[in-house]
Amino acid sequence: MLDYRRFTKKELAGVLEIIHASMACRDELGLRSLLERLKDLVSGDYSVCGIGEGGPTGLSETPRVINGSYPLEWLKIYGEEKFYFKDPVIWNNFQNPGAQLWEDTFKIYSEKLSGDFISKARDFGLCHGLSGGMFDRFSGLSTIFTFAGTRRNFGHHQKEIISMLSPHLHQALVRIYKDSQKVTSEPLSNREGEVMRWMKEGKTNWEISVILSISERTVKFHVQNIEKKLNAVNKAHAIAIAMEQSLVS
Amino acid sequence: MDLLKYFSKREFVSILELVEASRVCSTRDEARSIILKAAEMLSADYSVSATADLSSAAGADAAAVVNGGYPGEWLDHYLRERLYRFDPVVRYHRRFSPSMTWSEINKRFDDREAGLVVKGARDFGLNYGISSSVFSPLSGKTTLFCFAAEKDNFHSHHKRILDAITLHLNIAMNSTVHGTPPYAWAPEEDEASFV
Repeated sequence: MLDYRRFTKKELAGVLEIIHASMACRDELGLRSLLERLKDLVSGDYSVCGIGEGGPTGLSETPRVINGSYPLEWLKIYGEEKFYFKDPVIWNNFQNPGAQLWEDTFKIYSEKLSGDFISKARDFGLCHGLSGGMFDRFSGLSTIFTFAGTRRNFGHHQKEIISMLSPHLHQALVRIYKDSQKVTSEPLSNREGEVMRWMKEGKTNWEISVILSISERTVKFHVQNIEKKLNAVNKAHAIAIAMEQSLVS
Repeated sequence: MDLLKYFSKREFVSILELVEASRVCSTRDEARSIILKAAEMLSADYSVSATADLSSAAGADAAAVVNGGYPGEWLDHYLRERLYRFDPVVRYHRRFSPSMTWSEINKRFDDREAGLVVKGARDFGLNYGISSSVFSPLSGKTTLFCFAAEKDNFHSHHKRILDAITLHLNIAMNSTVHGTPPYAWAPEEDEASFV
């Protein structure tokens, strides 16, 4: 097991906070904020993450990217030139999931590596980097979290921080990805419809629980489902979407 | 919560070790070790975790328990007599998840049955305690975590520690005990009394 004593108290606090935030993270906005916090923790300048399906030979299709602070122009080039099929960091993540320093990975894949790819990335200040990720062989889903910068700030210490956090970030990203794959307007169940009607009347969870003779916790559960189905960030947002889509009269 | 302000470096190390152990936990023995480690972090002499559907008495009867050193005699008696129906800690955590000391919980339940459970526990050295719970909407089950001691070891700092580890303890329990209840509790007789 990793020796956590090697880290400063501030780093350990940061790691724990990011783990808890990952568990609570439900949308892209939250994930972007997580990426930026982790970027600061590992002293990076830029952050980005992605998720895609594939196998040991790499991605099988275009990945979905969530940008923290990567240069947009580079991401555009990366997508247009389909660098995700050539990027050794992505290959390595399928074969050796976990944390990786770019320098180490580039050495492993030196024969296959395109010099053009590296020099173009450097033009955007992406000179040094650190990535962490996971590959779930059952679902074929791979996630990667990347932090880059102009200075050589990344070493074994930062790599261990990314190792600690990768599984938690992976779960958050997979959850968000799977949620977004669901049909956007999954119909509300009869009970959810009832709860929504009372929400629209301004009733609290407790009042709805009394009206419908169910526990407050069950009401909360229905409200969470409604928010999820409608892709809403809170109750007020859910009511607004439901009214817009004429889900409640 | 500004964690940096509340925990020592040693506590952060212990919490993160528990987080990782919970993440990879796959056996009942590992789950028990995790509960015992949590007990050590909380200065508790005894610990136990139970997972059940608390929305009905029948659901509560089919609880899965991981014992981290609770006196066996008390636990057997508690389960056989279905004292969870009256236990203030169970009644409180059916509604509220965050950690709470038993001294605070007991103030909220002044009925005779609750008093008898508290007195019975004290006969086994379970004088003071701290507990928390997690409700899992997907399974409809609640997992309760209880830590007890003969002395009054539990204060606001312990509540913060327990709040920081509860979800991780739940991950460990979810991956090991759901669906495999080790105890077959007695059939329901008096649902109305399960408050």
